[in-house]
Amino acid sequence: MTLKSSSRKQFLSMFRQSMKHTLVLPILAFICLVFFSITESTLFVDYNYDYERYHFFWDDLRIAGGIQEIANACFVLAGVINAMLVFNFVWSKKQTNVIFSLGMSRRDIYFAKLLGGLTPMVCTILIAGFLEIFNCFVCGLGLNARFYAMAALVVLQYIAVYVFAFVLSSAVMSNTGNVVEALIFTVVLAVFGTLFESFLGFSFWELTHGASITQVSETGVAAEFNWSQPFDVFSGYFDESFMEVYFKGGNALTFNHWSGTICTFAYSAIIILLGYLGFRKRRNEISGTWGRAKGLNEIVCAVAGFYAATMCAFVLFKSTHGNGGFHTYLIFIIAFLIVNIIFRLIFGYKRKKELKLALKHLPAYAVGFAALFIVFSAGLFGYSSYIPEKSEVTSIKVSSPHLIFMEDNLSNSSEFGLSLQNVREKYTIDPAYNNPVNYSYYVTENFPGIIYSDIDEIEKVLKLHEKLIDDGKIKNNAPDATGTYILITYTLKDGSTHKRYYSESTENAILQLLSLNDTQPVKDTLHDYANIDLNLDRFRKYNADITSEKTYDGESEFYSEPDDYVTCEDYVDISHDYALYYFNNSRYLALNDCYLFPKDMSGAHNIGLIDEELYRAILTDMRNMTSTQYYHHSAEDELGILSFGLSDSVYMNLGLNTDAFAASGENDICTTSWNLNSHDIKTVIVTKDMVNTVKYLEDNDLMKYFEPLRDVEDIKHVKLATPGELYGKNKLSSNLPVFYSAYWTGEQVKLWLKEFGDSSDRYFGEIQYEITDKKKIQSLLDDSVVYGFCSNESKIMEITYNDGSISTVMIPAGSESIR
Amino acid sequence: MIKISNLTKTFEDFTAVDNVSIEVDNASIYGLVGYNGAGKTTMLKMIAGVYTPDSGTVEIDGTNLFIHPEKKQELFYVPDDLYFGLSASMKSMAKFYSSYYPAFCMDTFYKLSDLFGLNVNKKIAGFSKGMQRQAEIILGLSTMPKVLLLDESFDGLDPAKRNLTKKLLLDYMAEKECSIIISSHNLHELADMCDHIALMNGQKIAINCAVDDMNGSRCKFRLVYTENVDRNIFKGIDYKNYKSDGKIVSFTVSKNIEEAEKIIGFTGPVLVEKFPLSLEEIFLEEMEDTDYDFEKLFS
Repeated sequence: MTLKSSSRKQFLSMFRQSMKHTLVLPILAFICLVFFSITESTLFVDYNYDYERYHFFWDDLRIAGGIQEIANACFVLAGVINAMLVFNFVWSKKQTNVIFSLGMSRRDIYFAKLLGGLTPMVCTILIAGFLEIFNCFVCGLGLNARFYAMAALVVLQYIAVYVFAFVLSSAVMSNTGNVVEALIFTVVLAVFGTLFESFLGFSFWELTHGASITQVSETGVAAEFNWSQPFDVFSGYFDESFMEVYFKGGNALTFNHWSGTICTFAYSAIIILLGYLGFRKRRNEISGTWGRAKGLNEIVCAVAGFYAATMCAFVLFKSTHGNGGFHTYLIFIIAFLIVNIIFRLIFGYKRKKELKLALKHLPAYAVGFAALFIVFSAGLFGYSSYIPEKSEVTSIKVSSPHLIFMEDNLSNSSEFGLSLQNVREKYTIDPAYNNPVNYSYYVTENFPGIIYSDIDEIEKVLKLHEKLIDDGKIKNNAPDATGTYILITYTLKDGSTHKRYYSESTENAILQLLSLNDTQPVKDTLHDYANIDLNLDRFRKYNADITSEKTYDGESEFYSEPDDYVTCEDYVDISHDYALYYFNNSRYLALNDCYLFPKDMSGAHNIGLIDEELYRAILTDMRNMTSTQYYHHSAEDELGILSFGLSDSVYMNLGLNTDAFAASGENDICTTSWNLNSHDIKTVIVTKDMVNTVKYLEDNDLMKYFEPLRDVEDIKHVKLATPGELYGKNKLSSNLPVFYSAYWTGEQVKLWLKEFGDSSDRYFGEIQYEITDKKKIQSLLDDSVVYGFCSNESKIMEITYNDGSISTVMIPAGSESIR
Repeated sequence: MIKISNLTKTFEDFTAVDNVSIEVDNASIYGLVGYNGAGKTTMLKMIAGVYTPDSGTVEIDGTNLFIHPEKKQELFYVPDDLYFGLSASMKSMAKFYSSYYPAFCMDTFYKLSDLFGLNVNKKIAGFSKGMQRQAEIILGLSTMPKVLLLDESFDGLDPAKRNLTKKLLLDYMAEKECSIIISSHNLHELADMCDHIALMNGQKIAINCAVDDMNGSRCKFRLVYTENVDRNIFKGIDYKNYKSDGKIVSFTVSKNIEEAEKIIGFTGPVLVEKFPLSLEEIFLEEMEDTDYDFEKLFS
């Protein structure tokens, strides 16, 4: 036997021995996967082919308990454990004596161990995947190319997660001196993707004016290119069950769906290479020692410093309202240095030397990070200020919370019709504010958006874009700053798309944005709404059913709002008293009833389910209104408030969706249409310009319900504040430039204050000055509106009535009473 | 034949082996002697491929081990720190090594195990230290190596097993023309077995010569005078370990012994005694500069 052929034998021997060491977890994984396959098929039979309820391809494992990451976490953990089992020999001087003195090259040792750790689990998942396909076949599912592609994707995704976890752990472990060091280093490097994304997110969003959202991953947005989540390759596609995705027509697999898997495999390949290069040069004298894996130490200390720096910079940037560019950089460097030094001291072999090294390397890091800050702040070499030529543009989609009347104002949900601005948090941009580690965004694609393709309209949007660029990066607390964000998506004639996103905008830019409501696409959207077949009888029946069902038993520890009732707050942890109050005082309006309120919201009149004629009258009026009439009407123009609901859940519960699941027969593929327009609670400010609505109300003798039930004598006092005084310390989400009024009864106010205290920002607790002069109050009331554009020169007035109830109104800028 | 050329190894700022070169012929046993930390183990680990040297090469029959590590299938390293799997028996270890050493001979393995009276099915973890060392030597010899590296391998062996092991090694070396490198502190053992000795001092090879040449190459003189003498009278002699008790003087000489005898003759001693230095004495003499002066340590 030649030495070469015996080398192959040695390789195979080591490969087999490594496989033996790592067999336990693959066996467990196999049992687990097969178990879920069996339960899936059992449920399939029990559920009588109910496509909505059964799961395949281990959905129950993947989304067990609603936590999608459980299966991922298991495979990640398996990867780490197996890597430890395979490469633990490097931490023992005794074992290195044996292994490295064998007649094998380091390359052979590394790859034999690596393959030995990979093979059992990969084979396990593959075999389980084939069994699952067989399972689906036995259950009678039509197996077609799409099914196989999805199956392959699921199987490969699991394999990718395991492979990535295993090769990363292996690369780290095989180059460290002991198990503690190895595990810590593995964790630090494992989250690099996520935290690097955080850094990019921070840089794009906070430093660059006009960031492109395509540059950061967006959790929950289907089919985005997933490059940064190697442990969560399912992200963006299999958020839903396998079958749900399978049955949704038109959701074919694209490159983006495969992106997470492909990237993870690509990263794994790179890590294998780096791990091998490190292993080849490994100095075995570090075995069993602490802090002597020099190269890896340097990387890990730098990466740890980088994480801390990113988070500190993020927090500082937020706390200074985006004002501290240079300060942020300084904090970034300081945080980097501190954590870098701490890590060096912990993991360094010779601490004094490490300290010197940290200071020696600091200038290089400082210059590198400064370059990054400058590049991002300067707009990425003109990237952020790019506006395509008009002639190149096919269409432009503008997305913003304020753009469409119907989607904006009317979708506001509240008790008693209207509410304060802060209830509109569903459109706020700042999930990352609470989670600096995961700087991802769920907005943008879900914004209401309008597509403009007419040349004149395109020109209007281009001017808006120019204005946004001219305004530059504005500070959050600038006098004319608003928390409104705008996404502009260009589709060019060459088929490419360009997205630019602006997280802050000036009042003037918002005025320009609001004027886009005067364009045909918006009118068309409203027209489409008007043509929906409402089939109101269904709502009528449903209303009766749910009204009798919903009561609060007073026993549950926590209260959560019922789905089918109108509410403006999202309480998760409030007292029994508070919950009982809300339920038993019938403050919740039946979902689909229509209510009329006077401007002071002192009473509500229920006129039952909205009349179809009234519904169409409202939409016709809104279509005819200009943005000026809508956002800049006077107090005199406002007549009253009308609120009604037509909810998605009504459709769902009436079984409309089950009709939509129509088996096509051919391949047993079900398709569903989701094109039912969703309507939540709609609140309409009825103005004199809404002639059709007014006519309907007059014809039906309903205008009388718009008459205020109180006068100035019922008012105890009022308080005035500018938006800045109320929200100006942080003009982010809450300081939207469109004002919504609010009303709370005396009981509500008392209960709120008891529950949440005076420091609650719901009321004007911080404003001390009260106006009690009736004449002055009357003049203010005469100028007040319940809805409209709210510039920073406007005033918001809190009215406290004698009975303790409170309402808020706005006095537009330039009104006589506030001059 | 194994040829080691210019091996150097540093740990951080510390040089453990500095530019060491030795050659071990086939059918030769090479003893590596040195005080603790002299670099013996480091050197053996570099030869075995456990440590990567900073520079230098190791060749077996002209094949560079660092370029062709598969050549190490002809080399077996018995380290000072032995490793066996937690539940490993000699048999399972034999199976392990047989898959990595193509020349592994199970017959030899069983014969040697019988010879040493070791139960091949018993867990090695239950063996005494000496038995574990015997087991490793048995496993090593069963791989039929062309080069055998033994690091302090006689430690813990009882005298009978020590002699048996020595005999086995000598027989194996003679029969298979194997090159053996043994590191040890026990100079008597090395003197008995080795045909070559290298003395490591200051991370370098201080002495490297055949044992036969070493015998008689250094000697110790003891001189008796009628009166006290000054050490200056020995000017011209390259001596070490000079000790004087007034009229009685002793020192060692390693170079030009005949010339030294002449000079001594001129100094008029009443008695001259000349003793050849043993290996141990030579070792201690070489270590003279590095040994602690315990007398001064607590003064």
